Amino acid sequence: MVTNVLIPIEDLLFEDEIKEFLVQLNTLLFRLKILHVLDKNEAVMSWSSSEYITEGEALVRTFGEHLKDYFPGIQVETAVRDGVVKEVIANEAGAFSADLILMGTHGRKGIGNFLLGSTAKEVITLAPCSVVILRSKKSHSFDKTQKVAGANQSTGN
Amino acid sequence: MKVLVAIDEDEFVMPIVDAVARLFGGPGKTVKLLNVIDTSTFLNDLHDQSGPGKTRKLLETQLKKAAFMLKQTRINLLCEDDSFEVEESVLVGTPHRVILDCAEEWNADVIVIGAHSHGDNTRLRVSSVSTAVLKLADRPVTVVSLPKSAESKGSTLVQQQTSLPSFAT
Repeated sequence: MVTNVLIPIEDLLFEDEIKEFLVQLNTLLFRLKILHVLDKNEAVMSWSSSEYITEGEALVRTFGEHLKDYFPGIQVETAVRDGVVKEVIANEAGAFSADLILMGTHGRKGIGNFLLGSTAKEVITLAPCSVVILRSKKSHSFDKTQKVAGANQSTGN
Repeated sequence: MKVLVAIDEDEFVMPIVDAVARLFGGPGKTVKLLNVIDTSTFLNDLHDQSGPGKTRKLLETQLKKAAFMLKQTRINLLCEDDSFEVEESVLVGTPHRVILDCAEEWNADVIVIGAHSHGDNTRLRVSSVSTAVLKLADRPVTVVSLPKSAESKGSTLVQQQTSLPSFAT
């Protein structure tokens, strides 16, 4: 059985977690689609949209190549879309007839690590299929060191 | 691979079983079926005249119900894929805390939870337990989208009936 997995990415932060998770799935007959969504709400004025698109295409290509190296013979598609992130991801999952959406959560907005990323939560509410939310191990350890640094500062004062 | 599956209501057994079998099937997989009896809502009963006795009775019925539901789930899961190694576990406490503690203790590779809509027809609402698990988990969490719960089923049926003629014209 072929499992269609849609992987929306924003950066390469979750590469290791995504590989690790895919290895554990029951099949190695994946069809992967790597998607990068350009959020119109967050457009930086100094960047032209074409720069954004080139950057996004480079990102999905790099990620796709990493996955192809890791799982030889696997079918990887890439796409860069623009629009409202949650809607684009949900629509793409429908069009790709995805069995699974695999995404990481930064949880950056709000109180950092404590909150679930807002995009991740919105995707869950709209998704037509199961969603796997991955936590970054790197950001976890980073947050811990941050907290320690903060504690030292406060004791120093 | 160790898959921790949290199940709260028996009507969601089949969608969750389907998703687990489809995503995590195959040899060498251990599944732990977990049902948590929410005792945070039992606290009120202690102030009741009939008091702890009533609470104990309620707890006993819920434990029996949960054990039956998990047995049913286990059978369904093994029907889908008999290579699973299945454990059942009924625990008592505050659901999200118990799920997370159990995942850590058992060293689960992934937690599977359901998200279902409560009434609102267009959006899938994630329950407070699922949200808390998603927020606080330190490992991958799979959210299985479930059909609408029983109360809202009626309203969607009505809606379908009313929308059918307009669709035909």
